[in-house]
Amino acid sequence: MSGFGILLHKEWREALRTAKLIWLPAVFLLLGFLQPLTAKFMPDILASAGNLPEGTLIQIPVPTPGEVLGQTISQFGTVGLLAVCLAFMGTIAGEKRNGTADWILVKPVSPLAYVASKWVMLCLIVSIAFGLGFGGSWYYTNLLIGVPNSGDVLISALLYYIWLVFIGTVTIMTSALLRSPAAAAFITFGGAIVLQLVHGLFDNKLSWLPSGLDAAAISKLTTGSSPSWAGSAIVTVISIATLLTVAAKGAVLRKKG
Amino acid sequence: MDKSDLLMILLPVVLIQLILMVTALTFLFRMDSVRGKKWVWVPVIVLVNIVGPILFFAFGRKES
Repeated sequence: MSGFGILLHKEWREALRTAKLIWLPAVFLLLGFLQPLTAKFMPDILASAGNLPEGTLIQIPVPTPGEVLGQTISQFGTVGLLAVCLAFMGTIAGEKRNGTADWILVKPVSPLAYVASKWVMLCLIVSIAFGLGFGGSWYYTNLLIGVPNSGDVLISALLYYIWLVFIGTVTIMTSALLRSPAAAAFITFGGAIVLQLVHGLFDNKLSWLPSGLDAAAISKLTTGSSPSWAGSAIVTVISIATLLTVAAKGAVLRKKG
Repeated sequence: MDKSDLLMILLPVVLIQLILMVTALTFLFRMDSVRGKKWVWVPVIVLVNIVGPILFFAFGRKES
């Protein structure tokens, strides 16, 4: 793993230069803020929207604090997930295209160190973005709706963080194998949606899929209890290790033509 | 809840939205070349909420 520190420093500079460190946390913070706000003000929003006949009665039960945080995680699961895929789609494909990857890998650094430096930076950026976004949502929920069970919140935050890192790792791997960054992003995003769908359809048989973490995080918040997630956690950790190895192999592949 | 409380609650949201927008715009104006025309990106960043700046950061950059 020679040169790891230098490579990590390069990744840090790159994250600053491309403003990833600003826009990814900003997106998660906005999503996190907006969910408790819409939950709180939904009756007012509907009332001011007009369009309703005179005398319409709308009764919306006030959601529990856990439910609001669960909805926040669902929001992260669409726009947030897409943002993560788009932020990391060029990690290797872009560097292969403009020649940076060739230039780095002729030096005596192992491909694994090259991929690992990118992965560590991914973990760091995602933890900052998700931590701020979910923390913001937690704070607003406290302020506007009520106080959720903090143990549940922390456990589901951890589960969801692992799921996000898994998706980021898949992005790095597809980025190492494919030539086009956009293809890498959308294959990963599509794959994540399919994983969630399959898990939803065959819940009893396929509870070990990595998307089980996402489902467990949401149900932990909304119902207070969650299906067992140990299986999916183990599968996810093993797949992250495998994906990184494949990415290291893919990074040294020469582009053809 | 009166008006000033509401304002205090909405302030951080507006602030972060502004940060996102301003970061995207500064990057846009500093860049030598972007994908597509430069002025096309301005309405995308300013008008399309949240997703506009994401799209710019993801696809606006031209790889040198």
